[in-house]
Amino acid sequence: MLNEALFVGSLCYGVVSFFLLNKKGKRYDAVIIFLLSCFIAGYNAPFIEGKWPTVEILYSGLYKSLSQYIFQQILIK
Amino acid sequence: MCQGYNHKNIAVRIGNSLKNFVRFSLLCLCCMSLAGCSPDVNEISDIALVTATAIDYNADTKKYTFSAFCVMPSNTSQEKSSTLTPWISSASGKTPLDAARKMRSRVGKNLIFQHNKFFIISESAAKLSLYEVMDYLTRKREFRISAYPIIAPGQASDILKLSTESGDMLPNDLLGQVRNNKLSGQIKPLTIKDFVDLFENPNRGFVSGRLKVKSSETSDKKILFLNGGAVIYKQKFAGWLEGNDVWTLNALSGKKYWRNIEFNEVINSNDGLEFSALFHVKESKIQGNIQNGSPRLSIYLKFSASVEDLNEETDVGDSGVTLQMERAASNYLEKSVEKSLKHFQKDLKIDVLGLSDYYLQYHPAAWKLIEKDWESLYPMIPVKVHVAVQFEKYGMSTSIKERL
Amino acid sequence: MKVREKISHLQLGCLLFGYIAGFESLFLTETKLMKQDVWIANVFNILIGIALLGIITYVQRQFPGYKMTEICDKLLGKWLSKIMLFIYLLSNLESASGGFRAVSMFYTTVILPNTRSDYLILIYAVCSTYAVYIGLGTLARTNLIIIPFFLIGFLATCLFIIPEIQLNPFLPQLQSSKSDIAIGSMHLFTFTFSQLITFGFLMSRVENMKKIFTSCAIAILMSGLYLVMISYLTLSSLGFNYVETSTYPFFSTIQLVKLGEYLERIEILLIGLWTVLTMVNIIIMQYVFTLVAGHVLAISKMKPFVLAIGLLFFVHASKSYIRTADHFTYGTKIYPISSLLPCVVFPVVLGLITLIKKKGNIKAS
Repeated sequence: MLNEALFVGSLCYGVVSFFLLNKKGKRYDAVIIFLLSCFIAGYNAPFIEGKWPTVEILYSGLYKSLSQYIFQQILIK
Repeated sequence: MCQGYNHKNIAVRIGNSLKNFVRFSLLCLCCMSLAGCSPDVNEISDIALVTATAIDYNADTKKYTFSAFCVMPSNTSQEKSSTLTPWISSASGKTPLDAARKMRSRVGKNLIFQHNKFFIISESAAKLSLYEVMDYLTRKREFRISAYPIIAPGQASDILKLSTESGDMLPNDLLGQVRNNKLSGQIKPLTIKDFVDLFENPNRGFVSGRLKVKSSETSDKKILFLNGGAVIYKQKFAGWLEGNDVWTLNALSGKKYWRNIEFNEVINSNDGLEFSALFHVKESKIQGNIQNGSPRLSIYLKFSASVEDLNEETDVGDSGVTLQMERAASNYLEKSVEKSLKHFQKDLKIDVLGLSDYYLQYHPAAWKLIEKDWESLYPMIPVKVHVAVQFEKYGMSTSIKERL
Repeated sequence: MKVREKISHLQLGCLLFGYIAGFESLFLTETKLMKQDVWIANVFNILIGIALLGIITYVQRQFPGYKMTEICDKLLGKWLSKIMLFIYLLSNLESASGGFRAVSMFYTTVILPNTRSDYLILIYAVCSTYAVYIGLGTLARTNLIIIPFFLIGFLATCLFIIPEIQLNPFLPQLQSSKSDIAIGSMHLFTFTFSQLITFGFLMSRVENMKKIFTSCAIAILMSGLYLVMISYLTLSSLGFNYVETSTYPFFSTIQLVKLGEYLERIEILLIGLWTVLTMVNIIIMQYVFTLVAGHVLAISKMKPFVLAIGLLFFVHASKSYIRTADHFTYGTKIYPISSLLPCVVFPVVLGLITLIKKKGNIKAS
């Protein structure tokens, strides 16, 4: 339930903020906040089966082999 | 006009601050009421307190029995503690967790273990599956690490059913006995934290609490008392120790164990004088080294003492007499300590004192060379015991004149 | 969010102390690894921390009146600066999510086992978002109020734990292998002073810039001393073996505190203070994230974004490090490596370019 509430909540927040900022003349800020809200909603989207990117997944993939190499070198020395 | 504007400004700011304060207080009140929605809330009418637990292991069925001594807390101030109804709940399972969960699901109350002071482990559980039991006790958040695991002979769950001489509840009586250890020093009350710390040490054994059952001297009932110790070695129960040996162990362990102990002994002097004295450990030191792969050790113990009773007229105010008494007491205590050490080295052959820890800390380089042979070297270590006693007090009288 | 509110150098130093003292004290991973030699990791940590602080304050002092984000633009150029700041933002999110998860994991393991982690993370995220909204000045003043209570609680813990001390935690010395020393030192540095760049982004908000280095260096020394004290207190009261076994060794040490015979379980009070300081850690990360994100995305006013960033922090934290094992493995294996670029390389590069440009200016003049 929390996931669905967050999904809907973040999308609503994005849309409302978009219109409010647009009204104030800050179109760029409005677009950014809408995109950010959509990105946030992606974390709780019920229809997305695969994992939405997190820093943990990104860095685990990026640094895993480097980390293994460095720790191996430390253990050897 | 400027001043008037400032006053108005200040008044507006104070008004705003008060409004913010009121809003904040209301928010805090709302948040406090939300605490009732938490799934971790315990209603006081639903709980029962567990004050002692027993764990048994049946080698044939390979099942654990988890028993709890439960007490319902009084929920009105008019009820006295003597009207609290204790009861024992028990269940069996494949693992300690399985048995505990079955027991908790059958009890009509929500059991709270945070006041549980004693874990009574049966001898068979200690011999055959102590690792599983200790893993369970350390992993569960509800069991406090300041509780005491105690090994008992026979069925641990039967022990919970025994009554006490004082009539008080069993766990309270046991706690009182632990507190009264300062009168004899013959109990080794290890907490779970210390138990597990020593449990993981591969080179040494250690001693934990031991329960004995004896007949009461004032009635027909069987009562429990804590005395002596249970030896654990290589993560299994290895044997029992008597009270005198545990006293030596306490005197040679950390200050935490001997700080409060004041024990009594009856000393026979060479000239026929027999007296009792109360002894208190002032200093306990172990010193040793490793020469050419052979460890050596010296033990230094200093006691302060007070004369408690004499069997004949003796001028205890005379320093010469006191010196003689001190010599007699020192000799007696030296022999007592040497006897216990001999038992640990020659009979048990288990390093219960933690001499391996001493060598590891103070002679690490030499210890690395002898570590693998420690089991064979330990029984052969020559230990010199030096005891010094000082009689500081002799009580409210000097001596009663004998008129025979 | 009050953008222009300035804080004093003392408040910045206290924020740094609160930031370090709160979080790392619970896990003491380097103490489990190095035991009696843990002082080596702490000395190394303090020295590297002060060196890093020196570099960051040097860079800030060369550009008084400029924010660190603007200094990056000046030194690295617009696009390279954006890339480096974006990498910093990812690192910030990584650290903050780890912080949220660590606190919720502690509470669900020890105190509230039936409560969902997500609800606990939500409560923290709401608190931190509100704290970011009301501004740095309020946070700095709140931290100043909390720290004396924290120190009193710590002193009381020390006093009551002294009777439980049963072994000499300093002996035998220098028995740890070089790999243990290296890994322990790296781990300690990663979770404490490697985040000094975060404070670099707050330095432009300090009134007296010349005193920043002194205040922060004292804070680094005090927090290093605090970590050494709790490490040895934990070792001496729990024992060398139990320290390794216990998931939260300092919490186990605090559990031993009792007043007299019956007044136990006061660890909850001390954990309350610890939680507040860990919140300071998370709030500072979120605040700096908001500042830097505003610069990277060239946003004119950050106020509407505070809630969005709070939401981002919450959802990211609730989807990261879900298993305890993942959290520990990531923290020991990946995080020390991934934090090197934004937290060490980035300030060092800024320092070098500042030095080169300064020398170039001197030559030109």
